[in-house]
Amino acid sequence: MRLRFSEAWRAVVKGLVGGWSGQGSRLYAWRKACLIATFVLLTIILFRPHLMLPNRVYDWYFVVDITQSMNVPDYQVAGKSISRLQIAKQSIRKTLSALPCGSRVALGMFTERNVVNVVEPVEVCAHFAALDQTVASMDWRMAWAADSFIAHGLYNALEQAPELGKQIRVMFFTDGQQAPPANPKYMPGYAGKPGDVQGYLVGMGKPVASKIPKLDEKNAVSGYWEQEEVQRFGNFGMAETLSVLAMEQGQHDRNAGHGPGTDLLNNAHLSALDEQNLQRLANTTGLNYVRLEQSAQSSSWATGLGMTAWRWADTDLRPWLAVPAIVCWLLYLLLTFSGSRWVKWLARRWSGIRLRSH
Amino acid sequence: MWEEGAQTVLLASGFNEHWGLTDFWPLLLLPLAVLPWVLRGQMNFPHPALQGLPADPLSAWLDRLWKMALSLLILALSLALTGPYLKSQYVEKIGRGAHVMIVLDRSASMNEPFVKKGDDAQARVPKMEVARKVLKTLVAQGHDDLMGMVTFSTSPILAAPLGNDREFVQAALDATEAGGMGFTAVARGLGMALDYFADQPVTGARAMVLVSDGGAHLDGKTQDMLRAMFMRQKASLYWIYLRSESGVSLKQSLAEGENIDAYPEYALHEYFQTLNVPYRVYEAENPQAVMAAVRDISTLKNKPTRYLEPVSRQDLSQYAYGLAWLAAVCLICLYALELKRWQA
Repeated sequence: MRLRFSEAWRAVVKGLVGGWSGQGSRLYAWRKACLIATFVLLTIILFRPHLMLPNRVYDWYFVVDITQSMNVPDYQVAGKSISRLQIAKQSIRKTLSALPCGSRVALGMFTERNVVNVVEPVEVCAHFAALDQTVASMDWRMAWAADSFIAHGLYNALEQAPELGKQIRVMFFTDGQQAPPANPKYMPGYAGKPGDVQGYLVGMGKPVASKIPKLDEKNAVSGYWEQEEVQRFGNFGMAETLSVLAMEQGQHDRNAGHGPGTDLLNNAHLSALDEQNLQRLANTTGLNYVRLEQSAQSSSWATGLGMTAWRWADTDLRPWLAVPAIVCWLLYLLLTFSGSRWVKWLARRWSGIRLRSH
Repeated sequence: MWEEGAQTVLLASGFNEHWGLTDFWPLLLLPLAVLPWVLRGQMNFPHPALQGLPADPLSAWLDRLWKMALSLLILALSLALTGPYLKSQYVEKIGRGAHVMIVLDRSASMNEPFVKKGDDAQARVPKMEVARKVLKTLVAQGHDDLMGMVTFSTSPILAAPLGNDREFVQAALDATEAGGMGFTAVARGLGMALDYFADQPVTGARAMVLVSDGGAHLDGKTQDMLRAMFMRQKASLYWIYLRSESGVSLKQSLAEGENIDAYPEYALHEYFQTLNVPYRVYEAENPQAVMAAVRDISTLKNKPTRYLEPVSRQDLSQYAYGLAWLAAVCLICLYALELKRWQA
C-alpha cells in the first residue's frame, strides 16, 4: 500500500514537472541570466567606471561688485543682518558646489569702471579648494578705486567674457549703485549685440534705501557716509542748457557744471537696489535680470536651462550601469513570481500587445 | 500641513545645508521594494499535498532573507541613483616643501617695456610679460612647495590661496594678461601676503617672491610696520627685479652725490636689506638669473605640515552601490541553494 502510494506520487510529480519544464526551463534560464547580469553590473559599478563623454556642464564667469555700497547689511539671515557682499560670496560658493564636474569657473571683481579678472576659467571640481578660498577672500578692501560706474563695469565684463571661453556665461552680482551720480547723457553704449553673452545680472539688496557704512580695519562700522561727503562732480561735460534766455530765467547749468544741479545728488549717500537701472542694463545687454533674495537661489540659475555648455568631460558611468541592473532585478523578480496572478495578467497584456503589433 | 512637517524634518536633518541629492526621480523607484513581499506564486515544484509536509522554519527564514535581499538591492540602488552627497567637507592633506607666496606687481608701470640688451624687436616687451614668463617657470618647478599668489596695484588682491594647486596659480597668472593699472603699493601687497601666514605656526621656510619694478616709495611708518611683520612671520624675501628702461641696476651702488630719492627701486633695495630676514635680489635680465632664483627657492625646506583643504562634495553613492552589491551576492548564494530539479 505504502509502496504503491509512493510510486503513484512519483509519477504525478514526473508528469507535472515534465509539463512545467517545456516552458519552465526557458523561464528558468532567463531567471538565472537576469540574476547573473544584475550581479555582474553591480560588480563593475564597484570599480567606479568613468569615461570621457559629451556632458552637460556650465561655464561661468562670476563677477562681484566690491564697491562700498555692497557693505550695506540689508539681508536678514536667521535674525542677523548680513551685507550684500557676504551674500554674493555665499551664493557663489554654494553655486561652486552645485556645478557638475567638468564645469569651468572664472572669477572677477568690479569697482570703478572695470572688472579685474582674478583667475581664468578652471575646472570646478579639481580646483574647488582654491576657487572657494579665493571667493571667500574677496573683500571691499581689494577695490582699487572708490567709484562705481556700473554700466562701464558690466560692459567691460561682457567684453572680457568671449576671451575667457566660447560658451562662458556671466553672472554679475551688484546692487546697481552708481557713484558718483553720473550724467545719463555721458554713459557708454553697449558695443556688442544683445544676447552675445548670456547670463544673469543679479540684483542685490533691498529697494529701500539704506545708509552706506564706513568700516574700520576690523570691519566694524565706524560711521556712515553723509551727504556732505559724496563727491559732487555729478554733472560733468557740457551744460544741458546753453541758451541765454533759459539762464536768465534762473537756470545756470553751465556755470554750475560741477554743482549738484539735479536732484540726482539728493540721496547719493544712500544705497538701494536700483532695479530700474539694472533692468535697463539687462535689456540692452540681453542678460536676464534677477533679484537675489536668498543665497541658494543662484545655484539653480547657474544650472538652469539655456545656460548649458556641452563638452567632453569625465562622466560617471555608474548610473548608466545601475539602470540596466534595476531592469534585470525586476525581470528576475517577475520571473520568480511567474505564478502570481499579477504577473500572469501582465504577461497576458504584454503578449497581447505584441500580437497586435505583429 | 503634511508638507510643512516634511519641510521641518528636512531642515532638521540639514538637507541642502550639509547634504543634498543630485537627482530626485530615482526616489520613485523606492516602492518597488515592496514587490517581493506582496507578490504570491513563486516558482515551485507542484506537490499534491503541501499541507502534508512539516513546516520548515529554516526554509521560511531563508525565504525571508531572500525577500530582504531583494528589497535591500532595489532600495540601495535607487538611493545610489539619487546621488547623495555631503556638502562642505574637508580633506586632510600633508604639505612638504616651503610655503611660497608670490607677490606680483600689476601696476600701470608694469606695462612699460623691460630693459633688454640686443635686438630692438625684443626690447619692447612689457615688464608684465617678462614677469609672467619668469613666474611660469617658477610655478612649474618644485612640486612639493605650497604656492599662493597676491597681485597688487593700488590695492592687493588674493589671486590664488596658498596650496598645492599649481594649475590654479597658472590660471591666475594668465588672468594678469589684461594689463596693469593704478599705482604700485608694494607694502600693501607684501602685507596681505604676510597676513596669510598669520595665525599659523612656523613649521619651516616661508618665502615671499616679490616680482616688481620697485617704483614705490615707502614712508617711515609703513617701513617699520612691514619690518615687524617680516620678523614676526619669519619669512624670507626674494625680489625678482624687473628693470625699467630708465631704471638703475641694483648691483652697483649709486654714484657719489646722487639723490637716492630719485631712484625708488634703489631705496626699496636698501630698505629690504635692513629687514633682518634673509633677502636676495635677482635682476631678471637673463634666463640664468631667473633660474638662479628658482633654484634658490627650491632648496627651501619645510617640515611636513597637515592642513585641511575643502572639497566640493563628498559622494556617498558608492556606499549605496556597495550595499546593493552585497545584496546581489546574497541573492546569488541563495540561488545556489535552490533546488533546480526535484530530488525525491
